[in-house]
Amino acid sequence: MSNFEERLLRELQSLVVAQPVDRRQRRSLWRGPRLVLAGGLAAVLAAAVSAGVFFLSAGTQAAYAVTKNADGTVTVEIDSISDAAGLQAKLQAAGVNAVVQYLPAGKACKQPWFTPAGAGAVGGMHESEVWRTSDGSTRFTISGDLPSSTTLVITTQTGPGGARALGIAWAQGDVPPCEVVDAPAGSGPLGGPPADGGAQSGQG
Amino acid sequence: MQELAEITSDPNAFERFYREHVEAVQQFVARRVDDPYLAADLTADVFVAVIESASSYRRSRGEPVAWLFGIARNVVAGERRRKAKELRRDARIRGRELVDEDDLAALQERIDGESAARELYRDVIRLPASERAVLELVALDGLSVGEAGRALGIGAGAARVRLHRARRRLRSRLDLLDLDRSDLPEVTT
Repeated sequence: MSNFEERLLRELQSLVVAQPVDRRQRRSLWRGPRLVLAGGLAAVLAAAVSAGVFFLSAGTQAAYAVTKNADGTVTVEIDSISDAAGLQAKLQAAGVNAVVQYLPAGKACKQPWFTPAGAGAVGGMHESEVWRTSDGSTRFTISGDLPSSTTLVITTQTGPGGARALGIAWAQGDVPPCEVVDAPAGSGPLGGPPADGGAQSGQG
Repeated sequence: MQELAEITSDPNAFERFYREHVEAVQQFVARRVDDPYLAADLTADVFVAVIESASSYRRSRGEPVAWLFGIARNVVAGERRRKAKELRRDARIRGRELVDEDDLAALQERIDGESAARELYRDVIRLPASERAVLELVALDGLSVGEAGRALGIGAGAARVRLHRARRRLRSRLDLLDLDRSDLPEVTT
């Protein structure tokens, strides 16, 4: 094989090795939620760098993890849409200003809810990444030096076919309490256009 | 058959899978893009997607190569939809950073060798999406109609109908490329 192919093999093998043992064990116990990355919301979230909307299937077990890494970044992994208060507390304990607002099916927060953070204001968020893991959960890493005026917002809506969408965005300044209203027809989780338009299905 | 689920957690199993399929994936990509660096990126993206998806592979979804080409199609289609470079920075492995001068020549050679297929691809991508998908996998990538259907999650009958329609639309183009008889076989599933 060429040098490129050999180097690529080594990089890929590091991904295989990097999967923690506990995740493999958990996968064997239950089928993780299926996640679909919705591309249609990109314009709505243009100011929210590396934010997005992710569909998780309903009915999975409560699970999330917040890990403070040695380099100061914080890795968040969400396996199912439950225990918003617990996740919010974990994030805040890790030094991340966060509002986690999970909503019942058919409900939304009244818009405008918060002021989206501009890309410039978010700074280190450019390095953030959002991944669908092999068992379908959502994982992203947050820069450790976010401005204190920035708040991570994680919320939901019910998507096509009853799948629940996990929306991740960044707010500038405080996030007021969510005023729960009936979701307007055709709205996305953060008040934008439907998230199903142009959805890009992950393999799995 | 190798258990595909193993490749998500066993580096040796992954290596076997990779060595078996890396050339096919690179040819698949070279039939669609003419930039060697982008080809390197997409090759990396395809195998990352394989690692992320292999645990959910089911034999009922087709042979591994059909499943692999289904993934590769999604990756390349995703690249076409991707706006400029905004999401490229999120790639887990940046294939182009692994390319040296010798690799560049090899990548370019592969791309040059697939120029006729790429020309066909440019015509094919103007077909309706459902027909395009079947024709791509059969005419460009050499899957049987049945395998193409399984890669796309549709039945062989539906795949056959879509292929027939696509062939009709492209007939003049395919005649020019002399692909109508040799590369679009009568359907066997």
